[in-house]
Amino acid sequence: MKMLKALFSFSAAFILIFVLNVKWGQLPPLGKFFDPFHGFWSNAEISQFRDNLLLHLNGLHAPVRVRFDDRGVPHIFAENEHDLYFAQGFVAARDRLWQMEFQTHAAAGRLSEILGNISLGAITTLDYDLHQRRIGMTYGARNTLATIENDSLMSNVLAAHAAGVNAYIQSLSPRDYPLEYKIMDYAPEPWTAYKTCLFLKLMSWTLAGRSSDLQMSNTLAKFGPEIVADLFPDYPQNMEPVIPTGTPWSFQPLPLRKPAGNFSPRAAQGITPFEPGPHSGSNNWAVSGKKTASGFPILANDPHLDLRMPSIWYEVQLVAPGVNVYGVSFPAAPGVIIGFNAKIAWGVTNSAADVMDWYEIKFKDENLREYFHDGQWKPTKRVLEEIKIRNGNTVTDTVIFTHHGPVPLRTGQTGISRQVPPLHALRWLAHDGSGNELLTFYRLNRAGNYEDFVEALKSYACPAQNFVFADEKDIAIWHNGYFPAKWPGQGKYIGDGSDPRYDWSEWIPHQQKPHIKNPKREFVSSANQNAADPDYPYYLGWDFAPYYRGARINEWLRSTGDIRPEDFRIMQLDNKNLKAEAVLPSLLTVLAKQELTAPQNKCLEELQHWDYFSDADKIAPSIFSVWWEKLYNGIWKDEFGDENLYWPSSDRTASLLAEEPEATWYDDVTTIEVENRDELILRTFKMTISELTEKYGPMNEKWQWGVHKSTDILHAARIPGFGKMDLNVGGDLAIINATGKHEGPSWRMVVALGPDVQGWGIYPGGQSGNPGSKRYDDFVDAWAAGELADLLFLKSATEQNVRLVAELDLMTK
Amino acid sequence: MIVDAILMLAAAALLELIGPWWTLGIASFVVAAIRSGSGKDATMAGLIAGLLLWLGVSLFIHLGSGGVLTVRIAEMMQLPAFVVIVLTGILGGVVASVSAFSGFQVGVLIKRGESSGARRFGIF
Repeated sequence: MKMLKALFSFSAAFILIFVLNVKWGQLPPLGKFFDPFHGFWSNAEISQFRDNLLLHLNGLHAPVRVRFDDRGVPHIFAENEHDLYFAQGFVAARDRLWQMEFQTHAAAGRLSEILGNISLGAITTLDYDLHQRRIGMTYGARNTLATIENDSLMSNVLAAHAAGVNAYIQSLSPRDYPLEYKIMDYAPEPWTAYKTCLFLKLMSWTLAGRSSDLQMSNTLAKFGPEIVADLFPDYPQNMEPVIPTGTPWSFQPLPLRKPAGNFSPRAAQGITPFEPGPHSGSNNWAVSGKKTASGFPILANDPHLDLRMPSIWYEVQLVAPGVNVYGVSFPAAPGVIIGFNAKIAWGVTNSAADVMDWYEIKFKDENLREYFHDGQWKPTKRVLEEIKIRNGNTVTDTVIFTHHGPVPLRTGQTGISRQVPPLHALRWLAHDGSGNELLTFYRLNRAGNYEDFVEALKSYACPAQNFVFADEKDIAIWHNGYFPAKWPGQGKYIGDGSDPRYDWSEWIPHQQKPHIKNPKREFVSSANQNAADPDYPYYLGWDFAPYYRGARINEWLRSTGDIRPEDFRIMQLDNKNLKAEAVLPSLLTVLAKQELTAPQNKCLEELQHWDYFSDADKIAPSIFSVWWEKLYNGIWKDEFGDENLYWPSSDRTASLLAEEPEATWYDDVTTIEVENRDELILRTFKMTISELTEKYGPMNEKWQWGVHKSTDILHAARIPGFGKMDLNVGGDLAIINATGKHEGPSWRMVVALGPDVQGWGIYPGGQSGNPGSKRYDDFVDAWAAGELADLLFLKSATEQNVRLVAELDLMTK
Repeated sequence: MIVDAILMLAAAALLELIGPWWTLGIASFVVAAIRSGSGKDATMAGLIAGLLLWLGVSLFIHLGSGGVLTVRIAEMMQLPAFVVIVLTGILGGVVASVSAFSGFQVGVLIKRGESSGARRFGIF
């Protein structure tokens, strides 16, 4: 009996501990997780500032001093480059290890391995992982790694960075793991240079992973070339390109082989939507010393991305013999990506140049072993992908490759993206290992003048960017990346995969990429718009960012002189809504003739008195925004809604409304009656007012733009409570302050060049990736208020400054 | 019983500094096996020790850190923040009390074995 009692109670205790030690569904292991000695509690940081610390580490060649300022920014002083990147990897991992690894797991299609096959809304983690494998994320990362390994300079830099990350990982016991590891119950694995390459592919997917080839092919098939030329022109009606119109192109372009006829692809449909977010875009600009109070150039940059916690950016200063640079880095990669040194400053905005094309493939038979190209049958390659699933079987998938690239879907398979047709091959620049992007940033970090800058850009392939530059005397902008030399319209639609004239064969030579140095207008700028006017001899793509944001920047820069850095801070917060200014007056003229109720009239007055600034405390931008969406849907949904078609741009819609009142698009083809523009305007206006009234009650402060838009910064794994929600900020996507609901300026920077360079900047997040740290989100409120922090640019390891609060000394072992 | 609880608490605090979370169970198991006079006493001592230890440490961290993380975990679990702290204490208490009860039962078994053995060899 006693035996039985003992056995029974012992089993009960054992089972209890076992149950509390494992993960149940999405619930973390409760005992392990709540234990205040090892669980989440031990991630709560008691002190706001770090104590001084001395660590002995394997792998360092000499001592490194890391000085932390009052914003948590590490200033790394190393005696050689190896130690510099080792220390960068070490401190980045110390602050952001979980984020670094999660990003690379996501890039590589390994989420099922840590999360199991769970639902992510419309899709599952396995669907997501399969998608990543099939579009060739790992293929591209391997190719980039091969290129880096052939370059001893960058392979050493990446190896040093990885060694630093690993030195940190090795110093951890499970109780020290970042919080998210404890929630999802897994452990960090060793870091490698390959993971950095995976991260680069993730950035390429975010910034250059958009394709409308399939939808444009469907649209062309449905409406014909005339309507497509009208609604989707290769060059928009209204545009101020990055390189000013009329700039001469004084070079001999490469000859191009355009096919004679037009290829009619077999259209494919029926795919659930899952795309990278719409391009919210980015801004950068620089003015020459002639336009500034100091007589030296000033440069500004604010790249817009999906806003996430932890932030994609990590601020750092890197100092070693031959380099002293300050700016933002990616935790997963060595070097500074956007920033300045004592001589130069640079920044980037994304290019929408089309470097992702789809080809229809003619396979010999269902085995997909051979495909037809250039008059002969060519063999395909097969790559076996294994997806491990936590608590489940390993799923294997064979991806077929043509010389174009992977064929993500076979007949009958459906993917998670509307842009992927079955039995088509993907040609994507990010698959090539031809570029060496990290080498570009390595050289930019050390550049001392314009020539160094241009040389640094040479090795940069993807995702293409507008690189803005300023030093003491010059300003410049380069639309830079590797661009296939395309004939006009190449890659706008699905291409014929058997005809080599559809292949990418030649590349635009470096000196022929759109660029300008010290233009007459004394400023350079970009806002993701078309790089060059139609006289530029190459076709780069057709779907660039709308006119308005870039036009507003240029209006500002043209009309302002005697500029001080503070002016650029204010300019980055500019909320002028040029789209509203262009389209609203004609809408209001229509409304003024109509019978309206008292609340409707009140809204009309609100709009009539609007100064077109989408500020947080105004009500008119909320009305306009809701109304615009209804107008846009009202015009296009009946014709473009059902099939997998590409919808006309917001710009084109605005010009249609303002300038083409008689167009037939206003008619709802699903009804017998013929509706005209004015009826649509009135109907959608009334719907807007009832919707807002229903949601918030009769007009009150909840109608204010900042409250209505309510910007949210979500956690990278969408963990509730780990984001920063309901920020009350103005701006919108086609506005300089391009802050939407989930996207916006991910880093704002202003740099004043001259003998004593000065920088200001902020990002919506915090240096620490630990949700248990006060530094997790300590920049967010200042960011939302539009403040910039003084960036502390130290000249030497011993320079005294009251803002330096802690020191980390890394010693050799 | 109070002495047992204090011993369990001290042993668990020490063991948790070097071992994983379930050393809380081992500490209360061993102390109960050696010392507890009854199953009820063992369970009670374990409950007090586990509850006080986990509640105490988590409360110390909560107050020391200004509750930054408590609030986030609470939102993640959709619970009020104080429940997160109380739940921590309860979990510690339950683990320690169940372990202590089982420790007592096993202790009885071992002690009986020892005493019967002693009798057989006629040492006492």
